[in-house]
Amino acid sequence: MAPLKTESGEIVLVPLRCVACHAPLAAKEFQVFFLCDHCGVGQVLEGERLVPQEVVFAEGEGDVFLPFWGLSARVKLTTQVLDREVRPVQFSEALAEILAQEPGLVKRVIQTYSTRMADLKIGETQNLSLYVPAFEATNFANYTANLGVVFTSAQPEIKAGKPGRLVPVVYEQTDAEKLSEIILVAVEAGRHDEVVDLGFEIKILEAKLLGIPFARDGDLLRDGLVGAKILAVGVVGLEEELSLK
Amino acid sequence: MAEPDQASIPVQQESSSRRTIALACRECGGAIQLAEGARIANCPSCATSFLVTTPVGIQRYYVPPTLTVKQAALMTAGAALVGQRIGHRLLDAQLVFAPLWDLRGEVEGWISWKRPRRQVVIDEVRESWDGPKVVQKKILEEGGERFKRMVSWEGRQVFPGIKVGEYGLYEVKDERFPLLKPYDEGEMHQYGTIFTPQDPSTQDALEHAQQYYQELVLSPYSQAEEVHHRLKVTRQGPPMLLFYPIWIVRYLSGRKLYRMTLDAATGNVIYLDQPPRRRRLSLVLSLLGLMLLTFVLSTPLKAYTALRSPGEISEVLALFIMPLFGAGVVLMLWLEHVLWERFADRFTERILGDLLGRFF
Repeated sequence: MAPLKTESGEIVLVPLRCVACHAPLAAKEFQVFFLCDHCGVGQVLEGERLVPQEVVFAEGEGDVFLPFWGLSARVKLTTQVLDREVRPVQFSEALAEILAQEPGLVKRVIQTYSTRMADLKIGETQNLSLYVPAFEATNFANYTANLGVVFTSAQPEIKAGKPGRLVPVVYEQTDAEKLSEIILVAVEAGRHDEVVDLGFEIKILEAKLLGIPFARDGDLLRDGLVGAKILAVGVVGLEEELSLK
Repeated sequence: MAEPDQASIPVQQESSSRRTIALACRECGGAIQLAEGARIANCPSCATSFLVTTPVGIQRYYVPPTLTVKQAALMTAGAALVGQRIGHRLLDAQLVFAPLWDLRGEVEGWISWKRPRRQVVIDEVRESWDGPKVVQKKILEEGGERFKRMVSWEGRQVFPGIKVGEYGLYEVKDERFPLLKPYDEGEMHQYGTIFTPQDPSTQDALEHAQQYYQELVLSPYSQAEEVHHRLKVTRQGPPMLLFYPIWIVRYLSGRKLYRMTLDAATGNVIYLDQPPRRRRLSLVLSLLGLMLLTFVLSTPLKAYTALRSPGEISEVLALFIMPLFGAGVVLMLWLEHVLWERFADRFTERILGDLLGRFF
């Protein structure tokens, strides 16, 4: 499509149309992925052009789908820095007494998610699925990254289900590849107190855009795959998607 | 994972407002307000979504000036009055669009650090063996705890696209976030001259900004020990070049030449180039002249008097040299005055002023 110069100086506005059926696409300002309402084809913004991009809606109960980049990667741990001064957590005598009486208390108080990702060892290579949230949250550190850590740690099996409303995608695949290293470091350093830094070689084998179903649970959104939670108000654009449902 | 100590080292989470760009819808002609850095524009009138593209690969915008030449002249009069100078004269005023790189970005990452170790002296109250309480000084070690956390930052860096430090471009603070207009040479030339961006290049500017973002994120940890981090710059968006209007005004006040840079969008004084203190300059020049004159004249005079009357050298020297000293002072003051009037508006005062400023 030949862009036309408008009255707006050197800015050229090109109507956004589906790469497959040329139907007009509706989009938000910072969105990078678009799903055609007419033919259902997904397309992602690469530079200043649209290219087809498949999206997999995961099977499960939910009110809305939050987008994640699912990166199949070959991961090799290259460097590891340990802090020898770090000591294991020591409970006070009173707390230790309570814990001795109720062994399951720690698990109930500190919610843990299933962890299927094996420990990484220096020089060893693992094939992993890295999950990087692709939606915008009001606090990256608390919401976005945390979900990435939980999903990557849990390594859930994703089965394709029915499509639904998807919260806008704002992180491109290149951003997701960068963030995947951060998430991996957070997973490993979170498991082992003494780990203070890690270096990885990450080779991305395949990148998929995933829609993970989340159900409304009061002020929270809870996913049906690993039980991860996120504060609903923290997800930018959520209310609009829910109202359109 | 260890809990971060929020009180000791806060995480910098910065967010700044986005500017808006006024565009016209190509389908219906309606007004579109595009958020800075956005790649999609939506027309509120016809609900069409557009892809925002630029032929040069950089989004270029300009800020329409609001300060007229008369207002700029009034600003110089005001500045002259503040300096208690009466009778200022405007020499010239030129509006230029100065290119500024305006680069937004996000930094996400992971960081681990130890709280800095230090010794703290506390007063400990103890009871002595015979009853009364005594205060003892006790030295405690604190810090050294390990923390790990995710960090996130969003913000922008604005810096000049040309190396012209004398206009004070580094001081441009666009706090109003005005409505921008797309770069249009025809429109902009109606207001004034456009400075062409030369340095740094787009790639260098992007790298410069990335480094700046990371330094900002790490700055709260400058006192921390054993800092390890993994930081990534994301969502940097298309590079944006903002042409910012400034008035460059020159005026004379109290026989001194001033150069002032004014923000043509807000009217703020960005930069005022003040001439160096002239009295100090006069004194130094006079002393230098005297030394030179004394050296030049005293040698042949000494030789002459020695040949004529070997016994009365000191009296003759005093008789001749003292008036010469006086003449030298008058000559140098006059010379300095003439030179000043002729070359003050060039570079003499600036170079000498900078040099003198270093030593006085």
